[in-house]
Amino acid sequence: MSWIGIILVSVFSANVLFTYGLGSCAMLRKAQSSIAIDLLSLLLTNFIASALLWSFDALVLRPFGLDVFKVVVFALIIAPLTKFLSQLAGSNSGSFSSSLLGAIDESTLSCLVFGIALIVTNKDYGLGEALVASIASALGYFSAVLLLDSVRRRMEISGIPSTLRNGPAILISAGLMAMAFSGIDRFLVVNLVK
Amino acid sequence: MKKAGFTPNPVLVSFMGLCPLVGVTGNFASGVIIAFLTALAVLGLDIFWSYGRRFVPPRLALVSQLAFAAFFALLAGVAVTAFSPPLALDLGIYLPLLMVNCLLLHEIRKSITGETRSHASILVTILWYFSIALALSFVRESLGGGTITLPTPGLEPAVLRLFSAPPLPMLVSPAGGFMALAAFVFAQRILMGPSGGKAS
Repeated sequence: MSWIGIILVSVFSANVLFTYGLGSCAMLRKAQSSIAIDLLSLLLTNFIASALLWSFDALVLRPFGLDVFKVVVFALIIAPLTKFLSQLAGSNSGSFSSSLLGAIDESTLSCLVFGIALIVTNKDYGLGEALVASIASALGYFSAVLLLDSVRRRMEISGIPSTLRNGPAILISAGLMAMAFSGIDRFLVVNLVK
Repeated sequence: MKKAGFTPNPVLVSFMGLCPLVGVTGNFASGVIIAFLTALAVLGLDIFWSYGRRFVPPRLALVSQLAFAAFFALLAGVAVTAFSPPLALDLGIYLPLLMVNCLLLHEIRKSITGETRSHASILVTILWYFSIALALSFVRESLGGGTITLPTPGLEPAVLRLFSAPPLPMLVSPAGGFMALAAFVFAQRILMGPSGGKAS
């Protein structure tokens, strides 16, 4: 598949939030930090975690038939390394460096980062494709959350009943968006950009 | 320390551990297995840490608990594959993702900050989680697929046909997972008030 195809599939038809439900818990909470910090920490941790897990999988686990140990390798080697490398990169980010480090600290150990790393590693991608898929998946998740956040803001000023506010209303919106995103057919995208 | 009776529902009030509930509860057997394994992981971690904290230095608390969670997820993956390969295939990435389930991470973070919860409170939390997952899987597969897949061992799980045609096919898709969860949260708020029992 071409890189444009990988990007379109990762953002739309295989969006990690709307297809796998990854990061649903975070979706229902209000954003704690700014958009730039959230996006930067998400991209940084996903890029590094996916690169590390792909490399470990291709160079160590698969050749020795140890695929099943992926979860242990992630917990004991990749998560701490991702945190260290992301913080190293984030510490040079000027005025919002401390907020970024806090966001990285929160996001390293989450189902989103591990889930995306697992998804791109389980597909037969090369390193370049895996990294493109990882970044595109993170962007897809971020744009989905951004859309839902704008829905939440609109609902806060509209008079919806308190029993529907936040949780149920956001979940219904997520369900409708998931239907819309799943309507973008994977095979159509692949054939269009082949 | 909280009383067990006031432990809020982790799914419908605190919105924790939702990823597998959206992802796999379209199949009753998968929903039952993932809920059972999540409950077992949280209970196992609680028992492990209530004894392990005496021997593990505080700076290794996170690593040791993560290692426990990772080995649990590894063993769970092997056990489910041996029990029923099609169910393991259906559960896919959600088996390794057990390690980073929000419920489990929440307990780990609490233990690191020194907040303690009673065993009864943790037991109530996992019972809530298990029962919601069970109800959600039942509703989604029965109305969305017209069937109920039972968590039986072997290469072909037993399937009960409830309807000749599924009444709401959309419910088995991830979009249906969000919608069904919304209906459950709404029902909880109708029964317990708008805060869903959070204030207590």
